[in-house]
Amino acid sequence: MTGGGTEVLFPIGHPKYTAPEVHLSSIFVKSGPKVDIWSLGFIVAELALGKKLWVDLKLSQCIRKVISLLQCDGTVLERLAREHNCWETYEQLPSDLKDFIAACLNVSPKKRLMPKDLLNHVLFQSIQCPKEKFTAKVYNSVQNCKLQKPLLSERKLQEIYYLWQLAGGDVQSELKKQGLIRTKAPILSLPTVVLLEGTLFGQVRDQTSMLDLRVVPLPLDNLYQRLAHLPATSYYPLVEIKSDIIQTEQQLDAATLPLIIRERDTEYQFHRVVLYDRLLTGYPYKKASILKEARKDVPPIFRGDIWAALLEVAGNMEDLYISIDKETPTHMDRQIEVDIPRCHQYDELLSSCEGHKKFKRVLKAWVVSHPQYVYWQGLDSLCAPFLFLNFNKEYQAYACFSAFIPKYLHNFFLKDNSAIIQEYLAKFSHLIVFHDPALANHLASINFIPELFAIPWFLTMFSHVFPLHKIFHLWDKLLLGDASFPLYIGLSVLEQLRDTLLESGFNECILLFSDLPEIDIERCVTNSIELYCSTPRSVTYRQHELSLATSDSERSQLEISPITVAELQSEFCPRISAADVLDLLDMNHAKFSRPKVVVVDIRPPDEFHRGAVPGSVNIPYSEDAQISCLTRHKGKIMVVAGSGRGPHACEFSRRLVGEGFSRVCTLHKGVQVLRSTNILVVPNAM
Amino acid sequence: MVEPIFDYQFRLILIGDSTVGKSSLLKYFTDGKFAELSDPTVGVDFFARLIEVKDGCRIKLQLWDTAGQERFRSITKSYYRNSVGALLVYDICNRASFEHIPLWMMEAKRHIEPHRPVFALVGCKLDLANSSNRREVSLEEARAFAEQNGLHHVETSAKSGVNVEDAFRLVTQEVYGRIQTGEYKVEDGWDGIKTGFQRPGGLDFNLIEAEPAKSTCC
Repeated sequence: MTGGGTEVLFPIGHPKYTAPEVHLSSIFVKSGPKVDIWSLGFIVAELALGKKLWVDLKLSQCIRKVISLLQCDGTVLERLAREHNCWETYEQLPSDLKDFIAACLNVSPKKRLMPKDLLNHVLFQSIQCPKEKFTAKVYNSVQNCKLQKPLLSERKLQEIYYLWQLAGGDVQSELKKQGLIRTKAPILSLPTVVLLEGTLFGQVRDQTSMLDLRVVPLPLDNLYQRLAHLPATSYYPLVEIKSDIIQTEQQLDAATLPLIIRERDTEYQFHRVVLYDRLLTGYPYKKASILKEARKDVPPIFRGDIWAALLEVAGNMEDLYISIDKETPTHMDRQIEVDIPRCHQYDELLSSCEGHKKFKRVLKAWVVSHPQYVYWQGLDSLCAPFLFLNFNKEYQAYACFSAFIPKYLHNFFLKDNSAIIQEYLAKFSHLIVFHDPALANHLASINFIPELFAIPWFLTMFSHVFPLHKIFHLWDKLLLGDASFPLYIGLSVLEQLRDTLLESGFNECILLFSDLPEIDIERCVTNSIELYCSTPRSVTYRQHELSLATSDSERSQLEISPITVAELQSEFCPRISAADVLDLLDMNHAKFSRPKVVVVDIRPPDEFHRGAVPGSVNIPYSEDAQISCLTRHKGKIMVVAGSGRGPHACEFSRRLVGEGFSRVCTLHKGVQVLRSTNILVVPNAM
Repeated sequence: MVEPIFDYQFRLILIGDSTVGKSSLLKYFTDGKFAELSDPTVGVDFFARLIEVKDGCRIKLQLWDTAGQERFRSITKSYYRNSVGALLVYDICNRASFEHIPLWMMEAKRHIEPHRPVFALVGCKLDLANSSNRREVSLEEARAFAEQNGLHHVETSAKSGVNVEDAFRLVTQEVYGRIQTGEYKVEDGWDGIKTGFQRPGGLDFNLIEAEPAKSTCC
């Protein structure tokens, strides 16, 4: 915490027990095992002599005494015994103990023994192997305590501290009450006169910055009170219930409140903490349950671990991380070094010196361990949330970061990523057209393309756009979705700005995105999920997405298949796969009472009459084909199906969008792809 | 939304290495503020300001701030096409950023073709160069380079504001001059120069807004 004592102005040990070399050095000696051994020796000496040493001395005298020990003739212990008139006690001490103390209180740090050597000291030979007995004893005492102490005290310290804060606890104010922090206007601490050599006059040295050994207990009464009414069973929630009869869902009053309030509610957080603690202990076996709970919410205290679970981080990542070379200079160091001090610096952790060091290591580790990729600006923002949440578990930050990228940003960080980004943005445009034709038409008319504003959104998954506390809530849900989910988030952000966008020209639009207005994340997330659920999967198909699926040849003819970026960009509406159309047609009426989709067949009538999708509408393609008959189908997904070749389906669908029809898409590969399915019928027979 | 009245709109683009101070320069020019730290630009960012040229003509500047990291060139090159002017920005205290200027200039020329943009060479962080003596690019050599290539040159500080206004004014005046001589014309499908709303009292023209250009992507 203090960098071995080098980063604070006060000594980190009690002066009396501190080794002389610490007092002597002008620059602070790093505290270390050898310094601690001295302290140990001094304490043992006090115990052995049965006397507190140097009790009445002032601090400065005390330090002088310690330093004077450097010039003893005999051992330090001898000298101490003489000084305190307990030579007799000294003489009666067993020789091995004296030897032990002498080994500890050796004035030369070089000759002073290290802890592991001390353990081999003669003194300990008679008490080898007491380990088992020892632990059993401790365990017994814990068992006995259980009944008396509140159950809360069995929770981990960090959990208790987290809940304590929620219950209104504030360390600063506790310290203030004890007079350990005094607020004073900064101007009052200025000296009145400063001589050129640096001597200050006119200000009393502030005592509060000096070492104070008082221990301040934090009162737990508030927290106990808040949780007093909870039954003991709350501390042991059932996570695995075999019988369906038992009501598993413990409905909490707070569960329906807005997320921001739930995160501040002590009792609600208590339940979440207890539950997640158990689930996380059971990870990866409890992955499914973690996923289920994460759909509700994620308690801030465990966010780092829960995200790691959602990203399926498993195995020994620590060793892997340690094995990566994060030190050798590389050519992207400069760029990383200039980006880090500009990344989410309003945050205390990320702007700290230690934060910068960690930041650099994690980023470098990622670049080094992924030679196919390069460092792009924006990776820093992407890494920031993981680093913040796993500040003391760098390897987990690295592991999450490494798992996140292939899931959502596969190949985005190739040296030449233009094909991936172009496809992504084209898909984004299609999605806007699909759900909000009015907005899409407007943006197209002012030529306001996603390339102008959405690159930082997607390249950094919004981490370059929003502050950390918003990113957390956004990613809590993002991590539950698949690789297409960010597109829906993008659309939801647009929807929140919709009214402004619709009445703005190009200039206002670009300025709007330069300085993005406040976005309501909870609403954005809910909206994204709705949009996601109401969109056929093939609409957001991307060939550059990391796919675990089989190769092209094995993929069904009915599935969507890659097309060129140029084709993708020339089309205004998204394509839908035949498989999705079949699913939505729901010929067996298994899912919907009425089909959610209408097929608009634009082939010439003769082709249509030879075989068409049941229920489809035939509007043979022409420049001025009547489309008014489609008005009654508004709200359904409109699949424009042509003969497969030629641009007619695209042009026709674009016209539909121009007329304000939403959810328009074109059938990938046209009607004939459905031949193999035996679904086509002769229209007269319908 | 009612746009402020302007006669012309010029689109200018700022290019140069990462951290030379493009965003700070723009920030000062549009807000009159200096930010000690600014976020790295990912992709492109926008600013706007209205200024008046010598004969009282009002020009709206649409300012495009691009990502400095070299990799973003593949993404940002599509932004060049519709620019009429480019500010080539380097850091006076960073030699490498000056040495990369010819590359940036070639890149811009290539993508703005067939139009011939107005260039200005802009040195940033003059305050740093003066106060802590960290200058790595001398005024003479920058000037020589500018003359050789027919560019305007100016050294600026976004901290004190020195010459920031001039940097943009030089380019704007030059573009305006070229319009007057007939070298530049307002063209459909090119957003480098556009005419704005006519001023009240002028003839009742229809709004002349450029046709939406075919979406060209990066």
